[in-house]
Amino acid sequence: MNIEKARELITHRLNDELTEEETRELNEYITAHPEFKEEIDMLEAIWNSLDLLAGETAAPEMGDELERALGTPRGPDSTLYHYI
Amino acid sequence: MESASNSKPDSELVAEFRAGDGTLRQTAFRALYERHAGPIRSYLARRCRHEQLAEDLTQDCFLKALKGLDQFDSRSTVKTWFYCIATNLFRDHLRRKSTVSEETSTILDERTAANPGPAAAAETSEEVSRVRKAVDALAEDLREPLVLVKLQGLSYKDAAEVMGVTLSTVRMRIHRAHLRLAEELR
Repeated sequence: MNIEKARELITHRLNDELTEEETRELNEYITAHPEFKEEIDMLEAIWNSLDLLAGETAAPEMGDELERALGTPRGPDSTLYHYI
Repeated sequence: MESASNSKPDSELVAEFRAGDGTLRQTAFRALYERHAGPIRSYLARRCRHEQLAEDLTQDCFLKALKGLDQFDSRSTVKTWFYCIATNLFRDHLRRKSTVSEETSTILDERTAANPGPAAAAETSEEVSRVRKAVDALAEDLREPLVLVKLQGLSYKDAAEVMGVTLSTVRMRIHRAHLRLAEELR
């Protein structure tokens, strides 16, 4: 593994998206390259700083059109799959 | 206080919606709305950077969902499906407008809005502004997966489905976004 691959795996580790094999490879690399620790800390801090923008908001009130639609008995037509 | 419907898993609410009539159907859909409309609205606000537009698209999203929930095929989770609808509505909007809104952002960060106290608020607000600018400066193809994964909490797999790309593309773009942010914010 080279430094570029190690950086990439750090990103995926921060998102809990590493395979067991990748985790093992990354841990081996980190052990063999202690000088990488400072950069790992920086990458983690950058990623964690995004939490400042996170946070759920309460559901907005249903609009009139949605309220009306919800009160309407189910009909035969559906336009959903135009959108997916 | 949390209602009984709000504690049920999404799959159960979808089943009740499909099987039910009248009140049961409405109750199940309202529970799904209460659970997901806030995050979907946040997601759309982050994508379009305009509060009112995000509000309108959220309503459109759940209108489409209401009309289509009987045909939802459960290949994905209903949460991912809501994000698919929201993303496609946003893309439809972009096609109509041809560019992302150039209007001044009116998005309030939730933590800034929480009013943590004068000194802390000033410090937090400055840092939030710096981080937000860095995220906003990302190219759209990097910002989209970053918002879905980091800010909305979707897995890479679900983000790939919402974006209509492969898992490896999401992995690559997330990493590139991370490196770009590191360049900007370190």
